[in-house]
Amino acid sequence: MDPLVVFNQVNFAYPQKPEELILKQVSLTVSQGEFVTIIGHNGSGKSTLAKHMNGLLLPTNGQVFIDSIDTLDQDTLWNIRQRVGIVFQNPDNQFVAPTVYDDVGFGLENLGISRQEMIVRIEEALQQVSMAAYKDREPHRLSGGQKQRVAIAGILAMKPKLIVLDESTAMLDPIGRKEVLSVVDSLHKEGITIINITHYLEEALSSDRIIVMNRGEIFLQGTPLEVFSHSDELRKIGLDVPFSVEMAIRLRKRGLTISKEIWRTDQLVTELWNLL
Amino acid sequence: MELIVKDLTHTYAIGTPFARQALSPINLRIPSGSFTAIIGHTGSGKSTLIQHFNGLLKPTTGEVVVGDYRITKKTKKNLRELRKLVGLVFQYPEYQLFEETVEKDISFGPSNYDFPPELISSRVREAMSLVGLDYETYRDKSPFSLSGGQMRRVALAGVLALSPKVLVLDEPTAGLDPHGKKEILERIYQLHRQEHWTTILVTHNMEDAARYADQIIVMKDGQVFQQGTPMEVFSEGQSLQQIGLDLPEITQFIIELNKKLDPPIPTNIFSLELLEQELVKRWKGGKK
Repeated sequence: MDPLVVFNQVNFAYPQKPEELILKQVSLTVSQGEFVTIIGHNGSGKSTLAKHMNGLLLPTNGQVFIDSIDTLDQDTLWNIRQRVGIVFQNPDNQFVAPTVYDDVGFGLENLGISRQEMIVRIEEALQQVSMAAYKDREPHRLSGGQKQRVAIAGILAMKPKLIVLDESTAMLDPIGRKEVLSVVDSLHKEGITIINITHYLEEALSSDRIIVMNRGEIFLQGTPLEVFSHSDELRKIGLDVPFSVEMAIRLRKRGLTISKEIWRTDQLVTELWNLL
Repeated sequence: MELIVKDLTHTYAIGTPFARQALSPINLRIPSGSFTAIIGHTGSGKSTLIQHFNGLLKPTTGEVVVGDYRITKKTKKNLRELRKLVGLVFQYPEYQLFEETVEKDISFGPSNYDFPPELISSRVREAMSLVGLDYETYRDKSPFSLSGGQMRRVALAGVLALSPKVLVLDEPTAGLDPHGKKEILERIYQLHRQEHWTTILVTHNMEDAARYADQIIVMKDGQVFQQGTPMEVFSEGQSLQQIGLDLPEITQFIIELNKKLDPPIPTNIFSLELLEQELVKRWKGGKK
């Protein structure tokens, strides 16, 4: 697969505080079609990383390439923004239009495409997030989960290659979270690359790869199994491991022969049925 | 301080075409010194219910009794004293911070009650130490220069500065990272025991409800759907799942295991340590 996102030794500091590096020598590659989860503490640099992916922030040193376009090149910034959409944490802070329909179309107005094409794209995007029935509603009257789905539709209308979720489920109730995650899952199956920044470890379990950030650096990365097998290191930087991983580790220490290949609850249940 | 809710109903915008009944008759008793978790979907009436506990909302019918205070539709007076006793911490309380310094913000409540300056100052120090903010370090800082978790502690301290006996918290950890969540809840629980508060926690997190609560109240469509100890509520797993609420992860796990285990593992185990012991015990047993 072709790399869609490439970070090449990226440092980042705000101009007001040049000595304080928020990202330190971050290098990473995300391939087309991948589902990557980024976890880490508040202040670990997760969101700063996300904002580099569509040129909202630019590296102090190093380079970021999206679809082989350098984010430092101001002339092509809008090409990047069309390819990468970010869904932010607070669903109330990202609406501009009086109706759901207009809001989803807002980004398109800057692309200079025909009205006919716009209508097709808006309708399609709303269907993809199951919000077609709400197209004439006022965005601020929707539930949190619905708001985030409308925000996603606004991105989909731009025909993006990558959607970045920056703690998009943190302020939602459990139902809202499930709604958003199931939409994200189906978009991933349609081939859109997903980067999900989250504190919910169970969201990380189903992704292709997990990147752990700590103090502005990549602390660990790998498949869920690889990452969560480093439970001691994760705990040292104050992160938890999922319930099933923790339980398997505890039982292994007590002498039960539980395979090291285990990281999901259903796998652990099956192993225990054989042992008990 | 005991809370009793008798035949409470609440209708918003009563007498207008937009009238909507948010609470159907509710009857509850929350014992003095207990830790109660209220769970339920968004829109189930949780927030409407708790706003009756300090008279922010008045019953449409029925009454709420808090210690010596009786709140009915007609209650007008004495709410100031009640609000000193019942501290209500809203969702995202940091949005309500407004003062220039942390000290001024926390002092706002006590100064409204015309406490003498010495008392205000000692209350602020006390409240800050309760939430784990060093007085000298933070007193002169702008609340808006702090991290999300710290801002939330300042907001909590503002409520604690009135020395409430009943503390009502509406999702106090929403939006915080796991570390911040744990820190705030552990502190609240520790204070709950140390200060003998009657504590009411509205939460979507079943792990927290199982871990801290003596009793759990499940709300659905403006009514009490279920009430009992964590074990009673969660071992009746199916009824919770029917209304679309989750069980704690550990309970889901035990229920899954029990599908092929006889005798089943008790569903009143809510800690990893205890479950580990139980599983090891069974494993040794199987070997003999």
